[in-house]
Amino acid sequence: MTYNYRIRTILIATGVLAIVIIALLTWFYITTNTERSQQIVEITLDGVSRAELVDVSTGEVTQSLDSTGPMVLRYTTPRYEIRYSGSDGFSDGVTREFTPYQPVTEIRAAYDQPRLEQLHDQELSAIQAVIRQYAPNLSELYEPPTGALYERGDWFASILEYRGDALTDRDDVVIILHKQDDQWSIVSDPPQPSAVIVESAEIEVPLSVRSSINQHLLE
Amino acid sequence: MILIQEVSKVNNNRQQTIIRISVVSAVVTALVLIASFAWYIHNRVGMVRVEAIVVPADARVTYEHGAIRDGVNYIRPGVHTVSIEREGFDSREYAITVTPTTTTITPTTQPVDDVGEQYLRDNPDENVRYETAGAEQLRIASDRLLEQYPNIPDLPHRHFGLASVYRVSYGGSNADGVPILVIENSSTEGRRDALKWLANNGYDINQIIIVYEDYTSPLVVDRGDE
Repeated sequence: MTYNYRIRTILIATGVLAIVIIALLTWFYITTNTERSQQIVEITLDGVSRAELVDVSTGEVTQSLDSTGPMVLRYTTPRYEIRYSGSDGFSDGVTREFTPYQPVTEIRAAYDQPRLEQLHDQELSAIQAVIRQYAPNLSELYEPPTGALYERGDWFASILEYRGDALTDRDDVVIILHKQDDQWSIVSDPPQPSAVIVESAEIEVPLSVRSSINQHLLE
Repeated sequence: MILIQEVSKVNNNRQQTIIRISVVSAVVTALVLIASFAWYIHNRVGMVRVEAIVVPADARVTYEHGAIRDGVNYIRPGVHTVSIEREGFDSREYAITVTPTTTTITPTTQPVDDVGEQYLRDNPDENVRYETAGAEQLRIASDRLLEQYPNIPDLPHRHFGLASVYRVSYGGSNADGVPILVIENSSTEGRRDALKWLANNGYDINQIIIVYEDYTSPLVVDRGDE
């Protein structure tokens, strides 16, 4: 083996080695960065027996969860939602659509319908008393509110049907109450012709309450 | 003869030295190339190329993974907490969301004392940069809004019917980018129809802010001792 031949071999080996190392580095960095371009979010499940992370665009379930734990959100998936089954006494549901950039981190299942109806019967007189005190002329202008309870029995919403004799502002309106520290208080102040987001409100009316009551208004 | 052999030996040695230097150079060059390539990939792959308009330009801007400088940066997608600080200016922290489509971020801060005010007087170019950053923030907010609510440019929508009248107009958006739609010039029936029109025209009435401009509640509210 001549000296020149050895040198040529070393040069070729160096070149091949450089290419192999570059290829390995590329693979390593691409895979690690792909992992970095996902977000692992700790999802807290409350009243939920099973949750599934769904890619909204394909409808594909990308991950399941049986108890509180991490969910992997990929930035390549633009929108997710979580479908969940309620534990005993809780209802099934689906979260709002969300992105990996603004993820949902807690799922708090609502009570199921029989439980809410039972609570409604217990709470209605207290709710009506708060409403009477809030607006003494309410019973002259609107049918008595019966409404329904939502979430964990801590939200009440009712469409008030107008029965007065004015020519303007005869709208049916939505009254919403929230129970906190065992006390009911009016959130929709004053009641509006639909369940609206009130920017100045201390507490936001849950989307489930707004969508349910507005659905009735559109029917 | 001996002289020729000596000259040949010296030439061979020189040739071997040159070859040795060439081999070492090739190996060093290869290593430098590998290192540069690794560094380049480390800073680019999985990152988003984002132009930062930092105002004032010499403010110190950082986030969880390092510094953000005025100009081009490569930032990992996600929600990041950015802090900006400079002597004489308000030190603040806020969240930014970088997505694969993000092209610009605008970390800005305002003067809080004489030092900051003096800096702006001495550097009038910074005022132009505030305007550029402001315009960019507006463009970003507008793009985001149009992406989510593509029908907004069609507003205002007017309806004059026998049974109802109403007008729906765009009233801006709140700090979270939620659009505010104003229902005005409306009757009772008009407000009901306006709600239906919104629902039938691609608006999620549960996730936008609706303002009933000319609805006055007939309720007499007892506010106690307020």
